[in-house]
Amino acid sequence: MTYKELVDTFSSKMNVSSANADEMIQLLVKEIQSQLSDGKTIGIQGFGALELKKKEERLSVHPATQVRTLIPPKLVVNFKQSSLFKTKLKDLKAND
Amino acid sequence: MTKDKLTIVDLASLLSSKVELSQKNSEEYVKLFFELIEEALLSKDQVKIKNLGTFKLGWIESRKSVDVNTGEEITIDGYFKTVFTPDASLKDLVNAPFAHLEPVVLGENTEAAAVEEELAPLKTLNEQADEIKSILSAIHSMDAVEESAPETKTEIPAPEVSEEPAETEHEPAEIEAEIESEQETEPGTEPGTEPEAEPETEPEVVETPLNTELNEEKPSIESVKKKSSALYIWFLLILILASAGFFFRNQLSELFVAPDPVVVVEPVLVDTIPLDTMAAPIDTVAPQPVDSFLLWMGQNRKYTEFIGQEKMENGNRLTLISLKYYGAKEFWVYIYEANKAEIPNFDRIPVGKVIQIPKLPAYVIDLKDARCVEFAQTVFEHLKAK
Repeated sequence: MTYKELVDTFSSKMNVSSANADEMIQLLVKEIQSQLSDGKTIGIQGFGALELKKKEERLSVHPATQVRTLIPPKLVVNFKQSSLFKTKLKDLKAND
Repeated sequence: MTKDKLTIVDLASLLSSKVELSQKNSEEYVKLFFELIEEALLSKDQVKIKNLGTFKLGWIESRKSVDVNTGEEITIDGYFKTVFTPDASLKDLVNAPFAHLEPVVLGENTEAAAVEEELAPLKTLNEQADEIKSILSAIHSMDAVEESAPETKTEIPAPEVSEEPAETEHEPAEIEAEIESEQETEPGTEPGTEPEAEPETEPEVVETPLNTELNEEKPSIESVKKKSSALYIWFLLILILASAGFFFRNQLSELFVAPDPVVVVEPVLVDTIPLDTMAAPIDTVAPQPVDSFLLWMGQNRKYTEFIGQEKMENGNRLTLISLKYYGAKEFWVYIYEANKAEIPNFDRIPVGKVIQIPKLPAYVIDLKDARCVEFAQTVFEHLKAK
């Protein structure tokens, strides 16, 4: 679903205008952003958790040119789904 | 990572504090938000949320594995997995602590090595520059010994006029120029042959050009990315030939010096017959002093007018007499010349002799003109050589 669709669904379910809904979502997103950048993990019961992971620096070799590059360490956001959701998804697979 | 784990409730409360919403309402919002995402995912649909990221499903292929309990082979069937890709803004925000780091290319054929390579030729050239300096200073001290003049300093010597230092000073400059080009195809071009023709060139010490050239070597070399080995070979070649040239030149220069006195002595050899006056050239005194002095230098010196006379007593010296009459010791040579008949040898002047003090034109004994002193010294040289 596109963002627009999300906003529309939101507004209809919450009985607010689209603009309002958009604003709300953005505020929420902003809050999630700030919490994540503070290093906190956000857990959604039954769905999963958004957490930070540190990726160590590594030496990578370009397969064609054989140029070796040292990639610096970094922090990334990772979503780890909960087992509940995993099972829900497993039921899905029947279709695919 | 901190151990703080936020729940929906926490998020909701944070949200409500920022927006004019009740806690309950905000909780609803947050719940709904994530429920929508879940729904979409379960419909195999992806959800893209601005400034947050994209939730989508990724398919994991089935794989063979081993049952942990029985040890039998088991097939793990393929399945769907939730995949979250953060948005660029979120990525940057989260990576803030490591934002300053950049990937670095390593390896032999890379910039790091190229930088090291650049430094290597620079180092060898610095060493070579030091070598040049030491060789030059050795050569200068050698010249000093040969001249039997007062010891010249190991630094580039002060501008004392004598042919040899002037010439050798030119050589370092020329050699530096050669080295700078770094493409010496004919290191054999002994720079000695050219300066020979001008023994009395400006003794302006080539020190500053020397230093600047040495300094210029460094920046110019950085731009020249030749292989250090080839550079080294060229340089050694130049050095060897240059030093050979130096040794050779010292003997050459002595040969070349000989003609000069011949040229200048001629006017002096002619007997100083008290003919007419020296007045001819002297007439033009004040208006054009330059010409007069050159004339004085070129002509046969005759002394007809005298301003006094001195009796050589014990302990008296021509230099002191010169000092008394002319204001400088160097001009004793003229007194000697004027009294050549009486004084066979200026080292041994018979006591009791009366010598005449010649009248010298003002431009000859001008203390402010360096040429007067210089010329007096050259006259002395010629007298010595005879």
